[in-house]
Amino acid sequence: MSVLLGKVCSLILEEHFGEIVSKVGTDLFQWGPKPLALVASSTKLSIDKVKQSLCVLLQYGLATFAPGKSGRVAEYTIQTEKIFSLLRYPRYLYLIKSKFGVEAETLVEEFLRVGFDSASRLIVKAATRLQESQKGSDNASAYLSTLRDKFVSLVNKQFLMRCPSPTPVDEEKGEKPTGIPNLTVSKTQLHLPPTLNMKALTQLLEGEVADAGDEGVYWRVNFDRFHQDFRDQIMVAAIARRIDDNASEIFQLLLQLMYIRTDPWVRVSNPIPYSELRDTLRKKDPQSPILPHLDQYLKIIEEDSSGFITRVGDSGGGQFCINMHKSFEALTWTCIENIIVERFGSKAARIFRLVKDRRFIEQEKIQQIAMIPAREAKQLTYRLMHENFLQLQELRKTMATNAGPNKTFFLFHIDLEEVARMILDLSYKALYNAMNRRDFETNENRRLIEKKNRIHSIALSLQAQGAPAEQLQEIEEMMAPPEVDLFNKVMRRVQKLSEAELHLEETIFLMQLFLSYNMQ
Amino acid sequence: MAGRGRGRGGGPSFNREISERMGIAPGSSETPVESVLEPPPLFPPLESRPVPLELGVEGEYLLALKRDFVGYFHDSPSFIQNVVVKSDNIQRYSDRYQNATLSLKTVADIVRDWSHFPTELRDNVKPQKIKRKLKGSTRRAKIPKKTEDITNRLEELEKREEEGSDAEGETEGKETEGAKDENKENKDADSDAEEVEEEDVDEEMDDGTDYINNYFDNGEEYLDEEDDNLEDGPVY
Repeated sequence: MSVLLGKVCSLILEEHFGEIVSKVGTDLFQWGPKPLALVASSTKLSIDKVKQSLCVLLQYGLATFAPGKSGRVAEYTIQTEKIFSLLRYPRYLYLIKSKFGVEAETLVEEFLRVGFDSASRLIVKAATRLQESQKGSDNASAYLSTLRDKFVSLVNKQFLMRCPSPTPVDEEKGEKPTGIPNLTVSKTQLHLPPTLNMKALTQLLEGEVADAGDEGVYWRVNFDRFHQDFRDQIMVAAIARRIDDNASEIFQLLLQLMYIRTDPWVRVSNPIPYSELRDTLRKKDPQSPILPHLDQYLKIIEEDSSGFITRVGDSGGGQFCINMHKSFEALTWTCIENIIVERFGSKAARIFRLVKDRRFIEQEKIQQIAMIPAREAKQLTYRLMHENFLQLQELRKTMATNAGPNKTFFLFHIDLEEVARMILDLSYKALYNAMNRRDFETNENRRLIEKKNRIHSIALSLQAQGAPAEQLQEIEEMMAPPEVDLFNKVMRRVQKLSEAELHLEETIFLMQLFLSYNMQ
Repeated sequence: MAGRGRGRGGGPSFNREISERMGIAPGSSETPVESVLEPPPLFPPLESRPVPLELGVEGEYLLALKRDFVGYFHDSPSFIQNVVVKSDNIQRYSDRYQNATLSLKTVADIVRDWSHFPTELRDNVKPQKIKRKLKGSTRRAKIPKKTEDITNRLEELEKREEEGSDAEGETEGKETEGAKDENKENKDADSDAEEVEEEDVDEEMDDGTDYINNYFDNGEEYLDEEDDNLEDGPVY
């Protein structure tokens, strides 16, 4: 874990939950698991504030707690991945919206807003919100049954999971209440949809007290499942870019079949028989134009240099494995190559590819094979090495320790994992800079932005009252033209920085995924 | 070039040798810079113009969602702020609105179920602290008691000595008895104090947070336990 990651995390926390939570989070990041009192003493915050901050972190799942060594004091641990997922909230919602529709999106949004909650309360909340957003329908209870169905399907697809609940202290066995709940959940219950009493839900919606039958059962968002979908999207999109849409459709089907028999996060999937793939395709669309060319398409995907799938057997028309690890290695290579093209030009990228291809290569060979003038090739190679894209390996001809450089080969090579880590750090840094700059821009022009917002709200309320156009015009003119110009300029800048953050987040996701596969 | 040959005691000739091996002519502009004495610039010049960012409808939707989220969290109780304590008593016009927004926010609103949290995080519960305070206060109270004992005893002994010189033979037996009793009592008290101290040491050895426990004294229990102890006084 790098220093930069810590900095980014504290900025993210500050943006969402304010300075105090961020201070507590940073402290936990720097020192690892820590009890409440120590956090308070090292952050120099009042104990009440620290308590509140920890409550917030725990509520949103950004921190966890466990009994410390003595077993009597709870120690808190920060979850950096979860903090990073705060940045991905919009992407999660977009995914849900495209897969399950608006109702499910509202439901997940409510979950993300509160961290964890019981199903009944959330459904009621979502129903009220849906009713508010669509003013035409005045009956919120109409949404209840759809929302419940969506909830059940989200749980079935594992986008939501059950929160571990505290096990009661067993006094008979001599256990003493420690004040630290022991949170557990059994595997069978994790994705078991709840049975909800519709009548009680309707009563709850009308503000009455009712028992919907899920007291003490809480649900939270399963981020891993979302990441799994993001991963599939990346792979399918890559196939579509490299071959064509039909191939990507086949690949999508292969992924679906993979989940039937394989754990989603393994490096290489279990074999998928060809016949099964053909049957599924036929079932889906008997007139599919891909069907006659299925063989060829599979062959093309298989023979592609990125190695997304491999043929492992011939029984049943052929058996195919999906190489998760290999595909992400290929994607990472491509990503790094693109970065080099953009930063150092295509000639540098050619040298990089050459070193990748030859594994270990001397400087002179690079000049010859890359067909770049000697001087330029040298400059570019050393530049890449300087920026840590290439590594240098010395190989001595003799074993003598004081052998001069004349007796040594200097071989260039690439350590992909190291480069990926470097890129990841670079992205963290860029993200940190972008967020910092955005904060700076907004703070610098806070007065202007607030003024604009105020004028906007006044104009809106007047419009609602049916004020004449002249009056509205007058309100709009309260901001001088240079102010408007400045405002637009600032907004454009902020917008651009936010876009950059979105894109950076994608690179970070790719690198993290590659590294996590490499660690397995 | 930086970083290569770090930690090796090579002189300039060694560097030149390496440069030759790597194909750099000595004296040319490509030779490595010997030492850099200043940090890299804070805003390095941009060498190539970055590719313009593409933002489709999807991207705009994502940005809007992000703004919504950040806005929501800002207004929610989970956005913890320092309550500014004003040193002066001047009434401000803006106070009316600030207080209204601040008073609505408490973290307790967002917490769904306290049974999922360690009890120490709850606002009004502090079980461990109270326990420790008891121990601490007994220890503090014991020390003055002990000194009092000694002075009392000395005084008493003095008195007895005076009495004893008057009528030595008669009271000798009684006196020794009384002294024994005194001793016994004192010993008991001493051993009590020792026990308490030992217990305290045990407590502290667990996590070594003694300083913090004492440090965060909100003063609520002040004089609660100590009062009793002081009034009791030594018993003879």
